[in-house]
Parts: sequence; C-alpha cells; structure tokens
Amino acid sequence: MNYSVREALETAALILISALLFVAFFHVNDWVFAGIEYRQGVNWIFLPAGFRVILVLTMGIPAGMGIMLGTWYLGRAGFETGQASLILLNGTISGFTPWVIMKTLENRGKLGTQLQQLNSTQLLNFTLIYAAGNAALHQLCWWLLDHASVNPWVDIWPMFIGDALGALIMLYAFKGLLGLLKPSTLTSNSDGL
Amino acid sequence: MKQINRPLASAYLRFLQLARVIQALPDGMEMDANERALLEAVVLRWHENSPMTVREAIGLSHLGSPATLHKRITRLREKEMLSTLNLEGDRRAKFLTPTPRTIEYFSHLGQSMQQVQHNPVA
Repeated sequence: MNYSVREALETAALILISALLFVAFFHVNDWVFAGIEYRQGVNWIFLPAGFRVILVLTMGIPAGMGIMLGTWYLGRAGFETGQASLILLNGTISGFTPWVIMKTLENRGKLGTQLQQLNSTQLLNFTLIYAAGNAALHQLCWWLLDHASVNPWVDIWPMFIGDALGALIMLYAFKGLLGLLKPSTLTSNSDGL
Repeated sequence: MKQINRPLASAYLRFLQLARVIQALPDGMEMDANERALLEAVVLRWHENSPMTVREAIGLSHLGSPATLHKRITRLREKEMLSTLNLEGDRRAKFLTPTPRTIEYFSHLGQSMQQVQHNPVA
C-alpha cells in the first residue's frame, strides 16, 4: 500500500475513534450527571473533558479533529436553527484548545516530542491549564455571538470546574484501571511512591 | 533523533508514555523522606533477622521524638507499608515487619538501580 495512503487511512481511523469516544462519553455524562447540569452543554462534572486530555496527548491533531467533528455532531440541531456559526466555533474550540496548549508546552520543551518529558505534575498542570483555556474560550465565543443570555464572569466557573473535575476523574479512573490490569507498579520517584 | 511519522505507531508510543505518567499520579499513598527513613531502618533490621519492636522504633531519636515516630509508624501502617507481629510467648513485644507492598517497593528500587548501572547516562 502506498505509504501516504496508509498514513491517511491511519489518521482517518484516529479521527473516527476520537469522535466516537467523545460522543459516547458525552452521552454517558448526560445520563449519569443530568442532575447537576448548570445549563445546556455545561455540567459541574464533564467526563468527556478527560477524553480531550487523553486523546489529544496521545493522538495529537487527529484527536482534535475528531473531538471537533464529535462536537459538531452533538450540536447538529443548531445548524437547522440558525446557530451554525456558534456550533462551528464551539467544535473548533472544543477540539483544538487542548491541542494548542499541548503544542505550546511542547515548543517550550516541557513535554518532549513523544511525551518523554511528561511527568505527573506536568500532566496535572496541563489538565488545569486546558480546563481554564477551554472555559475561557467557550465563554468568550458564546458572549461574542450571544450577548444577551451569557454572563461569562459567572458562567466560566461551572465550566472550568466541570472540565477540571471531569478530566481528573477520568485520569484517576484510568489509573485505577491500569492498576487492575497490571499489579501495582510502584514508582520511587518524587511523583509517587 | 528520528521521528516516527506513522500515526498509529506514534499514538501507541505516546499512549504508553501517558499510561506510565498516569500510573504515577499522586494518590495520597506517597511516603515523605522521614517516613522513608524510618521504613528503611525497620526493614534493614528485619533483613538482618532481628525485627525491630515498636518500642525500639519509637526510640530512634535521630529520626524524631517518640510521639512523632509513633505517628509515622501509624501512617506507614495505614499506607500498608508496615505490619505488626506478636511472637508466641511474648504478647507484649510488637514487632514491625514489611508487607508485600514494601517488598515490591524495595524490589522496584533495586531494579531501578540495576537499570542505572546497565544504562548509565552519558
């Protein structure tokens, strides 16, 4: 198989996997945490935020594209009600904010080209920076497109907390899952026991 | 260094790195330097076939006061790094022994030392 065709197919597969995982966990989150929804699309615990972190750190730009497509799919009703620009911007911010933050940290030599420099402190920092950036950009976008019903200074907090908590829950759930699959690998560095 | 351009291979390698980092996320079970020093003293005595009693451990004045060391022993027990053992015939003396988690911790340290010896940083 031609190398570039194969590369394109692999990239398409990563985009599809990212989109499916993001959409699936969005629905799971909707179902589990429906009672603590702040407003439509903003929850005090947002599990797909964890997938944004894991997918973008693992797959890079294909994950960003997958999350963007997944967000567009979730907001598809908006295309029929004249909110196309809001949905398009929403998806772009949702998919590419973590990627931009990852690239910024990579360029500053904090992560390494294949995450060799990443440690648990940096992962937690990345999660918090991403949650803050994502909440700020979403609120800015909503405020620019819909002044009347948005109060960014108030609405930013539930989104930030939801993204940060959701991402941390997912990371620790993943840690628990890895611990079950592989009997406790104790680390002796400063990050853990 | 040569970059990996295949998306799936690159994603898998990055996933392995991320999984390693996620496993090292702090979980409230970390030991601080003082706890580690006490654990080392206790395990060394156990390794010499003369396990330390709680009374002896809280008497290690170079590591802290008896009250502080008692708290430290409690924390190490809560972290499943130490357990206690009563010998038959003497119910008063409580001996401190390592747990399987402790043994795994020290064997991991040993493996790390071996790796460093085999792959010294240039």
